[in-house]
Amino acid sequence: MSALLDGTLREQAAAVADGDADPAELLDAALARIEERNPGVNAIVETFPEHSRRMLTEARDGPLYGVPVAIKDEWPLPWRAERLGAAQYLGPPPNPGESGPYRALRDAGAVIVGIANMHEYGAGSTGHISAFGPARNPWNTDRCPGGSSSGSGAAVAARLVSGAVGADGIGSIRYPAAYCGLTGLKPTFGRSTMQGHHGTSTTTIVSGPMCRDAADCRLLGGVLFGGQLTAREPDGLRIGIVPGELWDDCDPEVSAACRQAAEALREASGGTITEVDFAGREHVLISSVLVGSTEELADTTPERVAGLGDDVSLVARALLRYRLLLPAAAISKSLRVRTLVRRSLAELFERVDVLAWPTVAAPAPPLDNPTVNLPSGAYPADYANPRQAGIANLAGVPAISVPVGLSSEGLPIGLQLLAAWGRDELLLDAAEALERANGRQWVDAAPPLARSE
Amino acid sequence: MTAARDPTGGADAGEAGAIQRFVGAGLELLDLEADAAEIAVIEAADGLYRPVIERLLEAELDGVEPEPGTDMSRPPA
Repeated sequence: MSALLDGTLREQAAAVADGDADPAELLDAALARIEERNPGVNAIVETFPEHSRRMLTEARDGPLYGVPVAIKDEWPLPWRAERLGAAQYLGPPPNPGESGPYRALRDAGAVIVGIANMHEYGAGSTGHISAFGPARNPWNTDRCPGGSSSGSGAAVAARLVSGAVGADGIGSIRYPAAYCGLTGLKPTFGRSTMQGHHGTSTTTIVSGPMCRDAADCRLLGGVLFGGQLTAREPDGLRIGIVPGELWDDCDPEVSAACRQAAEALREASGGTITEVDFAGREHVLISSVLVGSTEELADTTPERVAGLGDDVSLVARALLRYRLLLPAAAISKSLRVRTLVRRSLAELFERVDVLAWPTVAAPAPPLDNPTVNLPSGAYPADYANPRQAGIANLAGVPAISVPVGLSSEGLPIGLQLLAAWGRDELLLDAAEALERANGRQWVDAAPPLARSE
Repeated sequence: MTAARDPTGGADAGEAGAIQRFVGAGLELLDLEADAAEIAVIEAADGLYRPVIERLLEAELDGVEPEPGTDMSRPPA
C-alpha cells in the first residue's frame, strides 16, 4: 500500500475502482503515513479517523472514490470549524458546516484524512507562522513551504496525500506549489466552489487543487469546479514574456530554469514566444496587497484587534493595526489599477494564449529568516512574492505554477503561466505539455523526506 | 516594479519621525494601543510599503474608474 500512497490521485482512484486496492486499507495507510512523516513537516494539524472512516463508508461512486485528500484549515467541515491557522478568531467564531469544498470532495467519493496547516489568518506567503507551529518544506525542513496554503503544499510534497485543497487570495496556492515542487492551480475567480468560506464578499480568493502534476490538478480541479475539465493538446501556443522585473529581478537560477521551461513549452507546442507588456504593472504589487488585505476590513474593528492576545503572533497583531492605518485614497486607487490591469490583460489575451514568468522570484527562504535575495536587494518574501502572483487575483484570471527545476541548493523552482478568464483548461494542457517535454523530471521528483521508504 | 533596496525607501530621520508620529497618532485616534514590538513591526512594514503606496497615490489614473458591479470571472465589458 505504501507504493500506492506514493502514486498520483489518478493511480489511487484507478486502483480502488479496479478492485486492486481496498480503500479502507488505503485510508489506514494514509493515516499511518501521516503519523510517521508529519512530525517532520507539520503539514497536517488534525486528523479524525472516525470521521474519515465514516466518509469512506458513505462515499459515493465518484471520480475520487476512496482516495485520501487533505483540506486547508480555511474551510468548515461538518465536524470542525476552520481555525485559519490562528489561536483566536477576529470576530465571532465560525460554526462547523458543509463548505463547498467539503461537499465537492464528499460527492466525488473522496475521503478527507486531515486538516492542512496554513499561515496564520492566511496573511503570509511563507507558512512560517501558524498557531499550530510552522509547516516545513519537505525539500529542506529548515525552509518555508510557502503560504498561505502551507500544509497543503507540504502534505502533497511529503507524499502524505496526493492531493489537497488550497485557497488563493494573493498567490496562496501558487507560492507553496512553487516552493514545494508541486503543480497548483489558481482557478478563474468564481469557477471553483467557495461556499462556506469566511470571506463572503471576496473578489480575490478562490479554492483550488494542489497536486504533484497537472493531470491530478485536472481531476481534483474538476471536482472543485463541479464538472470535468477536458484535455487538449496545445498547438501553436502563443507565449507572452513580460520584460522587466518579473523576470530580471529574480534569483538567476530561477530565471534560467523558467526561461528554459518556457522555451521547452514553445518547442513542444510548435508555438511562439513574444515580448509583451500590460498597463499598471508597476502598481500590481501594492494594488493586489491593498485589495486582497482590505476586502474584509469592515470586520477588522479596533475593538477586535485590541482583543487579540499574545497567542496571536506579534506580526499579525502589528499588521492588523497597520491595516487600519492604510490611506483610504490608496485603497480606492488600487481599484482603479484593477480596472486598468483587467482592460490591458483582456486586450493582451487577444494576442497571446498564456503569459509566463517565475511564480516566485527566489526559492524557498529559511524559516527563521524568510528573506529573499534578489538582484535589486534583500526583501521579506511576503513583500516580494505578490509582485509575481498578485495580478491573477487582482484581475480574476487563472494561473498555474508548474515545477521546472531544482536550484543548486536542491530547492524547487516554479514557472507560472496565466491565461484569460475561463481558460483554466488551457493552463492544465500547457502544464501537461511541459511535463512531457521535460520527461516528467520535475513532477516525479521526490524530496528527501519522501524517499525514506 | 523595482522595489527599494533600502527598506525605508530612503526615508531620512525626519520622515522616520513623521511615520512614528503618524502611527502613534493613528492608533491613538482608534483608541488602539500598541507595544514597542508591535510598533517596530508596523514601522518596518510602512518602510517597505510607503514608497509604493506613494507612487500609487501619485499615479495618473483619471478616467480609469472602478468597474461597477465587476464580474471577476469575466473580462471587463
